Amino acid sequence: MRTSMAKEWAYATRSGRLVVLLGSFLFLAISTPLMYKYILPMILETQLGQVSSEEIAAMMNMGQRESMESYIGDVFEIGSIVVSFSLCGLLAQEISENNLVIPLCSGKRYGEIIGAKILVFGFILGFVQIISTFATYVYSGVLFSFEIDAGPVIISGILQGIYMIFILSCILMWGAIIKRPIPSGFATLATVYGMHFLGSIFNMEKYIPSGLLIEASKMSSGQTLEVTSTILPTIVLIVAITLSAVARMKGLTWNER
Amino acid sequence: MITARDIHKSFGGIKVLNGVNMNVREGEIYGFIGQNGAGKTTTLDILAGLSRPDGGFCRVNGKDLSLIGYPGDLEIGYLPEEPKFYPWMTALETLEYLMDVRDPKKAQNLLSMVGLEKSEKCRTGGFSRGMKQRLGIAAALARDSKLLILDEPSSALDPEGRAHVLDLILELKEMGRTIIFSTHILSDVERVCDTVGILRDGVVAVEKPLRELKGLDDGWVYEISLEGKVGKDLLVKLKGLSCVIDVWEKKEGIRISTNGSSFIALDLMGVLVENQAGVASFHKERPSLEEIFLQEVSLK
Ligand SMILES: Nc1ncnc2c1ncn2[C@@H]1O[C@H](COP(=O)(O)OP(=O)(O)O)[C@@H](O)[C@H]1O
Ligand SMILES: [Mg+2]
Repeated sequence: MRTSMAKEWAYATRSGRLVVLLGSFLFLAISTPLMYKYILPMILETQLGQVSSEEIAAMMNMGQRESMESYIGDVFEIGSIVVSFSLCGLLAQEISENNLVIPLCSGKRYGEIIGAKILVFGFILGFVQIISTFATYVYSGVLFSFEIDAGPVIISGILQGIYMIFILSCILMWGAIIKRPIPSGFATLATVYGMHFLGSIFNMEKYIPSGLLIEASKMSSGQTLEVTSTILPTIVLIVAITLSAVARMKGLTWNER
Repeated sequence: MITARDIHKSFGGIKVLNGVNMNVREGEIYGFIGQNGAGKTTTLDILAGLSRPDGGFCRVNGKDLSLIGYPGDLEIGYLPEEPKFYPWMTALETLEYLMDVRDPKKAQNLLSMVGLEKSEKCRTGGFSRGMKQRLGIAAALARDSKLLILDEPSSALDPEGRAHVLDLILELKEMGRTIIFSTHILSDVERVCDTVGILRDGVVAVEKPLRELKGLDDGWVYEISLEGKVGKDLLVKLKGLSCVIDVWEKKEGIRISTNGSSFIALDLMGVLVENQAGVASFHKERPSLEEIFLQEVSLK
């Protein structure tokens, strides 16, 4: 397992995946408060003409909380796409390009291959979410004022990280099923948005992965990790999806042409 | 080490293997030959546990193929026809990953066995096809497996590299390994193999010790050119001789493999004279594997 994890880490750092993920989320984290503080008022000012910038700011009623909520909204919409497509080849490409043939013959197990990916990229995604949530917290605090406690912000980052690990497990499962990177990415997005859509129809958002982001945008003081209702169902889902990816691998043959 | 019985495999309705039978004995070098597209890779993929046959039974390295859960359970070394590595890893890292231990000494040893010691710190993404093949051989050796299945191990290499790989194969045999390798380069088979299997029309048409196949144990092959047509009864009579193993009809005559008893030429002459066949030329030779192969592939 150790060598498999070292291999995934080498992939993350040397293929630039780590930089792409960290860069994209930090970009969102910095640009969202910047947008609300300067760019949007500027646009509105030119549009509305006679209204003064103070009036616009008062009208928009923007602060740290609004900026961070908007950031978390972006994580769901844009972040899901970034993660799905930057990692869509994680398993699919290795299968379609026969990269796994030699490792498998050398005794690597399916569980080890998938497990190493979940652990390493799960760690990276969690780390990236916590860092960029904290970055947007600090930056929006500097631009506006600090309204939120740091504790709930960390919790928010952790919840977003778990949500991204859910996306990761979907990528691996679809990769094992479809075996082509880009289609796996689309299938993952369809799963993620589809579940969110169904969840909101049946009023079950709390229990599905995107409910983690709703929980993450609360950031109320004294908030603790809401384990049983929100995190547990998602963790169970992640485990189930990962195991189904492993099961699917057992049924594959390794002579792609 | 390998027993395959009646292996069938089709791809999209096209039958590639149609009842393959094979026996690879412990400690031997088995050359697996056949034309392009004959199904060598398909067969070896099945034997390595990477793809499943549509029917048949295989025992590889003492294990029933239908019962294994992972290809790695076979504990063999396998070199795919086109070995693929992670391009962002160095040769050394690749081997350590495959061996599942951090053991640079052993990895370096393997690399120098295949002549890649100078490239240990280079990423495999920059490797040429021949270098990948060498690294693939090192990877197949990484587990100290008793059985090595090598798909075209020498094909992508220059003549010097090929000679090196063949020497390595002989060396591995000395170390007690069993090796089966496929190739379309017949001279390579002739140089190192103990047993040859020829795949044709989805079956192993011939599986014989190389010496026997070349008639080295059995004496000579006679090539007789005749004036005029070859009569059916002549062929039957020749086949009836106790020293004759097989007779092939060729364009301008016949070719006869014999079993090495004495006075064969006399016996053959006798039959020819008896049948009043006009003999244009008569000579004996050792057949090359190439010839045997072409015969097997085209004449039957
Ligand atoms: N994975 C595959 N999918 C579809 N067709 C295949 C596959 N593997 C082999 N074939 C077909 O099987 C035939 C035999 O191929 P192969 O085993 O590679 O021959 P060889 O190795 O003797 O050159 C070819 O016609 C090839 O197109
Ligand atoms: Mg082949």
